[in-house]
Amino acid sequence: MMRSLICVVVITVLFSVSMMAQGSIGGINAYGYFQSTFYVSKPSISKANNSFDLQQLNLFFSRNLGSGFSAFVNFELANSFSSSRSWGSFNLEEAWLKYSYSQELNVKIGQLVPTFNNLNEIKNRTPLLPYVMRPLIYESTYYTMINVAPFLPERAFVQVYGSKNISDLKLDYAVFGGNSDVTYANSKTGDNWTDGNDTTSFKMVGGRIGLRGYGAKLGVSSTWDRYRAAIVKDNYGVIKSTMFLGNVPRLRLGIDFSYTGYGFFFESEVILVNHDVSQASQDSLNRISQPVKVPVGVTPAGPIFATFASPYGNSFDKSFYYGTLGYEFTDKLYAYVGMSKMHDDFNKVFDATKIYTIGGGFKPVESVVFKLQYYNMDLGEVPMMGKYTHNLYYCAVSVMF
Amino acid sequence: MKQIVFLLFAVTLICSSLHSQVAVVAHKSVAMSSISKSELTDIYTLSTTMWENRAAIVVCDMRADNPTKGKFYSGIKKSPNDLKKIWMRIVLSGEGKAPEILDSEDEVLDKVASTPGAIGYVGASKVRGDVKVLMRID
Repeated sequence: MMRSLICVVVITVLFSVSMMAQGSIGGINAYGYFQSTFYVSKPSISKANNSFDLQQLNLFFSRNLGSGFSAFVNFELANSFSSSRSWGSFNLEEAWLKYSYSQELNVKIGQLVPTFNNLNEIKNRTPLLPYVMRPLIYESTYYTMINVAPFLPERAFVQVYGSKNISDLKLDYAVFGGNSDVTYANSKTGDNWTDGNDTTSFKMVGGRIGLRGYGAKLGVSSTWDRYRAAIVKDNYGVIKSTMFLGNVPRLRLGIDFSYTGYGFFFESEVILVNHDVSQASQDSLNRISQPVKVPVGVTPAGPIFATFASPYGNSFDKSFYYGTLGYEFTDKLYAYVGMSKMHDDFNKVFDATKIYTIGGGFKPVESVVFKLQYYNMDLGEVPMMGKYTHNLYYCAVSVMF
Repeated sequence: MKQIVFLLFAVTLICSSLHSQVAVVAHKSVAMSSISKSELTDIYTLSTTMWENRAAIVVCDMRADNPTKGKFYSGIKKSPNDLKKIWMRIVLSGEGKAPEILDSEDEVLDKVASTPGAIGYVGASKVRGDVKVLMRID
């Protein structure tokens, strides 16, 4: 009887969970989350469809190694990952060692998501986000359609950071470094897997400095690296063979401001991406941005041409901004409206992309959030395509375990 | 007689004061003898994770329905919802572990008394001799 009671107590202790539902296995904390969705998609230039989707699943392993050291690993499976059907993706997102000397001084080494603006570090942490679909450049679903890599430093390999109390405020600071743009990395060709290593000697460096206090948070972020300006042959007949315009110095500048108070929450960011091209490269860009004559018919007198605006601009520069305003009716219920806008001075198909969104969520328990969202993407007049809009209706559940 | 009445009145006043006060308690190994509200807030927002001697801080919290919890959170000017969001961001970023949630003040005292580096809060009238009091919140 006593032995049975002891077994019950031991088993109960082993399977007891904390508020955050983390399970400790021999000192390793294993936990994670997933977000499952159902959406209805109504694009203006193609057929409507709807689908269920396991949008994302993240598995975390962390361990306190003692003496200020800790380790963290993050695996991510996205878009109904299935290796047998070649669906979705499975990535090692993070694997780093952290040494914490004090609140003012921490160091992370390994593969990590750098501190840039407000959303970059948590863009894939669905339980933290009110959205199903995130502000445009943070939405991984659009990565195959819109080249968002230029906007954000996605990975770094060393970061020094901390915060310092200044009266009632906190000063946050971080500097980081990592590989150059992903276009310089070894990539898979045919069936040959490669190592994803940087093939260049130049790297990416960046950082953020910010202030927090009284519910508000304000920061400025920046990175410097180089952009591999290779423009591939297209189907428009404008780029007849791949052009390489050099390893262009690229500067990103980000500003973030957020506020929480009186039940309201407000988040906003601006990101500017500037490229320093050579004069020869600028001449090439000026040439391909000229209007294009396209044959549209043939007469006995000869072919008929029509003139269209070029799908390309004469600059690689880009900008993005978003704002979200929400209200928490209770600890469990919230709603929000938001908008984001992107300018791509080179790829005119996605220049002036606007997103308007409205949504809300309900948390029946701490670890579960039911979300609803309407998402309208407006690309405006797309060269050679016409007006394009896309309406998306989402419902989702985000679960921590 | 007057002295007895006065004494009884003073004891009642002290007891009711202790009953409404919240005591911030720590393990006896903690070197600090007192703590400020800003230091306490930094500990409970997980901004500070080590004591001055670099020993890890073990933070203890209580379930939402405990009245002492409400007084403590008012004292550090944070709502339970605010702290839950802060903790969740830290946990999901891999930067730390959320405080342990305990069911009662007695459990908090047992945990703090037996865990080097632990800190928690209880009603002032519940304080025992095997923990150190760092602060009292009215």
